[in-house]
Amino acid sequence: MGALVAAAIASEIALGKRKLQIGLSKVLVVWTVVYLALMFLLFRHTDIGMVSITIFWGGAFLSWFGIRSHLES
Amino acid sequence: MISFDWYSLCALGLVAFTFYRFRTIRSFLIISVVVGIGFGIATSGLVARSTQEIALANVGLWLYILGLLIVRTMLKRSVSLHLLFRISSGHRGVMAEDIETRLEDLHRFALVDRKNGMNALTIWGRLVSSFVAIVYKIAGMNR
Repeated sequence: MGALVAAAIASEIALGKRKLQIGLSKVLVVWTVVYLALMFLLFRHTDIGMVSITIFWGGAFLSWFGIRSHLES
Repeated sequence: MISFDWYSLCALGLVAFTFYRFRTIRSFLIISVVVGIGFGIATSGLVARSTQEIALANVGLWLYILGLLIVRTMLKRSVSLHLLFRISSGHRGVMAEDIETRLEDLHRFALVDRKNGMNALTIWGRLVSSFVAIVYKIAGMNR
């Protein structure tokens, strides 16, 4: 949950006043960095596999993108 | 990779294929929900690395379905996308139909009421628009 909030806040900072479609590459960088950090932490402290983390993170990004884009349009 | 990982990847693939193959919102929703429930039942008896892993993959799959559902809705209902498509294919003058459909939706959800031939926000509509305005303000979105 913390990682999701961090990614959402960092995305807003990265976007600034830009529209989501224009700043999408910056947002993708942000979500990738937080994903790698999350994976590192979960690998160190839990036995959760990479596939589950990736599915969760991909789903979270898609949901965030959908809601954010829908609000903006 | 353990069998749980393969199950997860198959479920993800099925949802992605459904999004690609079935263009209506209802078809996508029905098939995806069946896949989501099926995945939940199938993986509950599987050996995973931990119960957290099963929960994480299940939540992830549902988030994936939700995200694709929103994207499909946007693709189906975007007035500007339809306009671009019609211009590129040489059809014009039907944009008003798209906007009319959106207005009908507002009526269906009781957000707008027709008075003396004019559309006006209902109390519920005002509440929703105020909430949206607050979200825009918090997120710092330019309108």
